Amino acid sequence: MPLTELIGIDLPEPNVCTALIDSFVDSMHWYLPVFHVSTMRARLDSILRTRSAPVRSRPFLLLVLAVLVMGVTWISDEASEAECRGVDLDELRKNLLGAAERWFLPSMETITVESIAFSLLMASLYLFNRQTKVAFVTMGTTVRAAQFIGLHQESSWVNISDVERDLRRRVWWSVVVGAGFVSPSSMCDGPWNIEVLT
Amino acid sequence: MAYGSPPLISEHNSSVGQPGDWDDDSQKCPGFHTLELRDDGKFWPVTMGSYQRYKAKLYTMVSSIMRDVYFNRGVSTRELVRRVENYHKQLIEWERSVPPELRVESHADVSFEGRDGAVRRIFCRQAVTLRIIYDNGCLLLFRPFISLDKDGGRAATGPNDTNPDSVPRRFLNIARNQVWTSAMRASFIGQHPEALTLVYNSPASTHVGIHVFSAGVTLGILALSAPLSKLGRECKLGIARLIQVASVAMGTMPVWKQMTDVLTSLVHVVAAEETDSLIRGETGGGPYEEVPEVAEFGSPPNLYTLQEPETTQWERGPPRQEHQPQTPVLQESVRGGFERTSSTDVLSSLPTSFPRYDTPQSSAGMAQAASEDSPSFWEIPHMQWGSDRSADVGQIWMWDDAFSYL
Repeated sequence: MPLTELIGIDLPEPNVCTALIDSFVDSMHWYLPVFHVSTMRARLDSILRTRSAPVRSRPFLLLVLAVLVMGVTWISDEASEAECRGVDLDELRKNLLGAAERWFLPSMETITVESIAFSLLMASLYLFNRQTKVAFVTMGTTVRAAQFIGLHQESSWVNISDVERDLRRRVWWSVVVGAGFVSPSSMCDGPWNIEVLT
Repeated sequence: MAYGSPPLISEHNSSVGQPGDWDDDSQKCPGFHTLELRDDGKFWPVTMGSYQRYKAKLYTMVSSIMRDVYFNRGVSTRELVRRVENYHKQLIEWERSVPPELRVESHADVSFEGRDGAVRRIFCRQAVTLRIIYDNGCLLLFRPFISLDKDGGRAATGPNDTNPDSVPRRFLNIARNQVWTSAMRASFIGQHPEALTLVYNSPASTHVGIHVFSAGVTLGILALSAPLSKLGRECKLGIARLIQVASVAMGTMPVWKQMTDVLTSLVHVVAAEETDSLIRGETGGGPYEEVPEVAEFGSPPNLYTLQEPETTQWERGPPRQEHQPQTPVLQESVRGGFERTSSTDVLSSLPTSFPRYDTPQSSAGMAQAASEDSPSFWEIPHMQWGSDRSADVGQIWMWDDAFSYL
């Protein structure tokens, strides 16, 4: 399926994608490592060659969108000049973010580790952009989605490779850190203070 | 931590191992060969990935603090003190375990050029954020004890005080010492400008900004409690340092501009209180003339190992009464510990509201408030707390007394 149908937007040229992923890795990956870098690059390269992907790749592509948006936010002037000459990065960011946001809720229909990583990055993005309420709610969604697929219980992860296991651990602990900073209240946990109905 | 809400994730309901190292984070810091004890019980070299493991442990502790201390009412004060003490011991142990690769001082005066430099840049950023998060966690843990005397009658009156709502004086001193250390240490973060620049140019800038803001407010409260003393002066200098740090970072994230504005107003409020104290004829002095040393990160003092004889553990004399100076007691086990001697209950003048940052008149309002007869950081026009707890300046909830667990 073409990318434009899959995620509503085509991705930038390969050199631009590379520069933006580099920017993300340099500025954000050390802080919240939610994917394996070389695996992402290899998978994205093959998708960019055909500009199409199977439907099951949608969570991965949404994650890529969030990575690219953050990459635009933090790209250095030198890298921007060298690799993204002629590209209106502000417009690119706006379009990529719009596509990511349009797919955010629908992505929760099929929750995967990648869609949780995507959700976490979106929450972080909103926080950095001072959209604190949106960050608050998005983070809550991320935590619940992670709990929904059992990402918080390693004993429930069966028949997975060591690499996949480590990836899940990274994503889970990144969610814990993100939730520790942006932590909405839960209807199930913790105390609340409401008068008893009479 | 940022919103003051109960945590969604409970360490009791989650069980996930620590991640190992991958090729993208298995590099070691050039020039270092420290080993890290991992969950498998084995020692492994410290790598870029170590930061995630240390941070995860820290956030787990802070999350537990939020739940067991801030969102768990109905326990006695003594029980809460016991819990806080236990968490403090865990935090200290964590602090001691942090390897040199993840301490900011290890990256002073080093080059960040070349291939090795690229690796060092990452370790340096990690070190800065780790230290800031830790000190913020300590402030979170002890924040309610800063204004304990304001509530009146909470400090234990002596070794025979069996009131379950009283707080041992020794513990109060430990609390205040840690608060002082963590807040001042955050203010010294500007001593590493290259390290800070690396953080500014990353998303961690927002988190760091929010954390150091809390340190600034803490220093403001401490300064207001003894504005004419050396301690008060050090606190003001600390706030000024934070303002300078924020002003450099202002172009990176909005939170730094907010921090600059708020802390600048806070300094004005402290200065106004200082003036008022002078006019009232106060002269400072007392134990606040001794400024506690700020322990280096990674080398916390042994606060819980020395046993004191009961006769020195408690405050001498009758319970404290309003407007009477107290006999200061310096706890020998707490290096540079201090007692409050001001006869003016400054903290009781702090209302429980906080500025909204989307109001253009915020700065003007604060300046006006600072010039009034009873200057108070909190008595500022158009403040609305309850309606929007997700206000732009992070961790505002920490300064709402309605949130105190005591």
